[in-house]
Amino acid sequence: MRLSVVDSGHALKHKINLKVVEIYMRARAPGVVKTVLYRPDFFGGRMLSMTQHVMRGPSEWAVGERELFAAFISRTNQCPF
Amino acid sequence: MGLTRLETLRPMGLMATDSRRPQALLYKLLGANVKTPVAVREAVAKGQDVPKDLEKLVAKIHRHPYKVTDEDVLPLKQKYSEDELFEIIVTASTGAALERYEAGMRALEAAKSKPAKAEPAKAQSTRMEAAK
Repeated sequence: MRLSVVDSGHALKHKINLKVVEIYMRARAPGVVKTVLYRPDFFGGRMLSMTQHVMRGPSEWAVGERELFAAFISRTNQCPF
Repeated sequence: MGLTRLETLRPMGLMATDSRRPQALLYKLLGANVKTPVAVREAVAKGQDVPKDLEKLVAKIHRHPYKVTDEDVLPLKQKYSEDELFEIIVTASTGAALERYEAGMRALEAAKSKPAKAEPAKAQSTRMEAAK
């Protein structure tokens, strides 16, 4: 992580959230999760709301199809997830 | 947010009211009262008139973000705090993403309005040109 505040500068409640994620995953929390939980009033809260709407909201496309689109675009951007 | 700020954002087409629209995310980032001046956030979101010291990082975020390295970010810590860099990086990333989203939507609209038989006719015309 290039910004230490995004790596470990979260508010207490988000530090607890990250710890739960790490216990559940048995691995370090992914960078994207750390990013959206850092100063969520500025970025992450709105980002999560939009992502939830796009990926899980009403659509002609099934959830699996949308996940496939996202994976394909990420791969094309050379940023696989 | 004062009226002046809203007037600044209106020309960018960022008056989205549905908070779940992609434009609304950038609107929120530009309208927030944070450490980085709104003019700098607007510049990095658009990738135009970017402050000299941020040009390299912002250009990479807009064109090929996977090429960003420690060398692009670490020297900037001498001038900017980490919170300022966070604001700059997420705003530039969101601006770049929105550009791609809007380009994709324009391409879809163009494809919808294109006559179904236009392509074969063009191909035939090209073949006739070549035969001359």
